[in-house]
Amino acid sequence: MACQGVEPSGEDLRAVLAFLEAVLPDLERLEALLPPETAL
Amino acid sequence: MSVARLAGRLRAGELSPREAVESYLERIDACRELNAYISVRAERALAEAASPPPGPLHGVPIAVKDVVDVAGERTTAASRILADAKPAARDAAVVERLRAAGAIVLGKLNLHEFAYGPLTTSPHFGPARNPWSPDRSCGGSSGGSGAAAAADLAAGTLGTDTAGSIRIPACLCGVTGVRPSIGLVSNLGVLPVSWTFDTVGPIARSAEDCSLLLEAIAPEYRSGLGEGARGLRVGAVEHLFARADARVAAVVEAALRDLPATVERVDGSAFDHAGIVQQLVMLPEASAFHLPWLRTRLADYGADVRARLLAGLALPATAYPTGLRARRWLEEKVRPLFERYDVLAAPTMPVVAPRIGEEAVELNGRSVPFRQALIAFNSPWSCLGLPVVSVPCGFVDGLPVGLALVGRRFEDATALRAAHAFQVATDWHERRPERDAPGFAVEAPKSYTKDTSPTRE
Repeated sequence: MACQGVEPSGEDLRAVLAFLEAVLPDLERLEALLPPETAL
Repeated sequence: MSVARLAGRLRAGELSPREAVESYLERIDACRELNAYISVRAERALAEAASPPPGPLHGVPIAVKDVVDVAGERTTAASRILADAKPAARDAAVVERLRAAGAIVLGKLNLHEFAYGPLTTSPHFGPARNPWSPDRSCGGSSGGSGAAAAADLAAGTLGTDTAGSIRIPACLCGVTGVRPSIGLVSNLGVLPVSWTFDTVGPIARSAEDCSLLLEAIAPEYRSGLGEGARGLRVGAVEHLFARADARVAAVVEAALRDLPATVERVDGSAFDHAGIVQQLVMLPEASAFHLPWLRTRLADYGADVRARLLAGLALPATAYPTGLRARRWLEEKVRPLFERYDVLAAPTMPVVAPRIGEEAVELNGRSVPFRQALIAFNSPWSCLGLPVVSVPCGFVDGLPVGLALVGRRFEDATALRAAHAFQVATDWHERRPERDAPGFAVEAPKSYTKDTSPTRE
């Protein structure tokens, strides 16, 4: 992300990683469950 | 005092709008420890009390969450980023409608920063405190609305709800809250969290009061409270009772016996994925709205909100369309449930109010992050745009517990009918915080009569 003068801190990035670690397996499971014909 | 009763007394001339406003202003001043208000428009409210328009809410003092624009006032969203924003040029659509119905806006209420969290612990404006126990959170994100309704700091309030933000504080503060169907109430002039899920709704003392406020802000809503709940088929969503704290679940189970309707147990596993589905759509939308400030004001967010907004940017591109498609899929999966039942019922929240500063709660022997503990209870309904009424239904450790009553989309009147019937049969909604709660004195509810208004004694 292009931040002007402020970068996310190490703590911010750890929080983001923790969130992704929790969510990405759920996302993968959901993608596998979704019937292919389900439209937007 | 309730909206209904106060409106009746104002109509009857037993009390003037100015007296009503003055009484609330005195009470707001006396209850500053709650930190429910971000700004109080004392002079303007008193001036407006001179001649409020005639209407069902003629002279009724109300307050709105500080993401809702009120002409001439700042909308801070409890953020540092908007703390010095220019005052709003015009009223939000809901405020315009409330004023047209005769209501007077007392001020703007505290919230979780940018309405993006469940605790109302803004590092910039300080935490709002729970009138039932001032060391406890009043929930969020509409925490100031819940606290103000519970402590009688306005006759009624407005909150907003994206993923629980009306229901959580209504439940934790022991008052009644309505998350309306998505699309029933205009969001114009309200700072967004997530365009797909955002709603504006009332938090007040009773279903009757919420219905009156909803009639004012939602032109399509017609109250059906008089019809009662007989004949309604209610499905109690079994797995949510099993997931809640056992004592909370027992209180809500007992409350169902007071609901004058046919109640059956239902399997709610169709809702199992609602939590992740809502996250996949809400997070990217929130981050998209905040992108300009994420680029220029990153350090000005509180740590928790900043982390969630950054997480929204880090999700893979497939997350958002998958979330939208899965929402459609969920709608189809739950359709049979609503063919069989008019209303679904569940605990609004799995736990009672946590202490301010606590990030995790004990849930049946496990320590769970507070926000995570709530997702299964809030997302099924908000993800699908369904109307939900949270009514107080008992206590655990002296703290309020709530019953959620969920209707079919755009059948808000049915959910409110069930809620009102429950409140006709019970008096949980009439319980008030103790006058001498430790560390904070909440006065007994006032009796607004011309001669004996307690603020004038």
